[in-house]
Amino acid sequence: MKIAFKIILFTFMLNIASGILIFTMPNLDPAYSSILTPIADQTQGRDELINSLEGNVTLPSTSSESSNVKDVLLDAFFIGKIIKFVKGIGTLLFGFIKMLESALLMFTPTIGATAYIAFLAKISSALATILSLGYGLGIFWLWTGKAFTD
Amino acid sequence: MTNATGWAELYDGRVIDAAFTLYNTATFGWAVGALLMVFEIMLLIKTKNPPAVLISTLIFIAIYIGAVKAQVAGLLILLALVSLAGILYLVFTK
Repeated sequence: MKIAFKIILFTFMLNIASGILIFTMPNLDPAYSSILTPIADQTQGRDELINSLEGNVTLPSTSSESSNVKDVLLDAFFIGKIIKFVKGIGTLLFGFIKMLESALLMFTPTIGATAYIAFLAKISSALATILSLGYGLGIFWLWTGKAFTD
Repeated sequence: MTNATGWAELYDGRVIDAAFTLYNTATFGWAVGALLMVFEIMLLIKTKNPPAVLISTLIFIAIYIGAVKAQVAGLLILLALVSLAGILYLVFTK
């Protein structure tokens, strides 16, 4: 329970550290900088909406007379910003596991790569389950002031 | 004199560079990362001083990140990331 909060704090620090490393080593190979990518990427939210709808979306036209630019574009931006915010929280809560997984992907063998990747997916999902249990216990502790485990 | 196992550096009197060339040639360069981790763990057991271990890791990586082979550089960058995050964690919590 307490260790869940420590993991959250450590993930924040990992995010800051990855930002510092990317700024200090600008000529980094893209294979390594993909490991270190910090959470925030500079989009306004429309891309997140389209990606959440799995791409290939044509938003309603903004040039015809009946359409309103504010309704079409700003709604897309707003919903996309909400999606981005929720995704950011998910990345912060479970980013430690994602980082472990992407770090272990570096050691993918040439023979039997699919089995290795499937194994990694199983391990990361199991870790995510354990961590979400820890977060649940932590939220219970924050809400009631009583700890399940003392 | 060109020799892959660091004799040239040794004849020049640069002992640390000779050892680095030796370990960078052995086992496709993984010996550098493995020995770094072994030495850091030994330093942690001996001194019981995590900030010193993290800072020494960062200093080693900053010196040798340009010289190690490409597949070990990823591991070293990960180690640098974790040690920098550990330093920040210690700064903000302790």
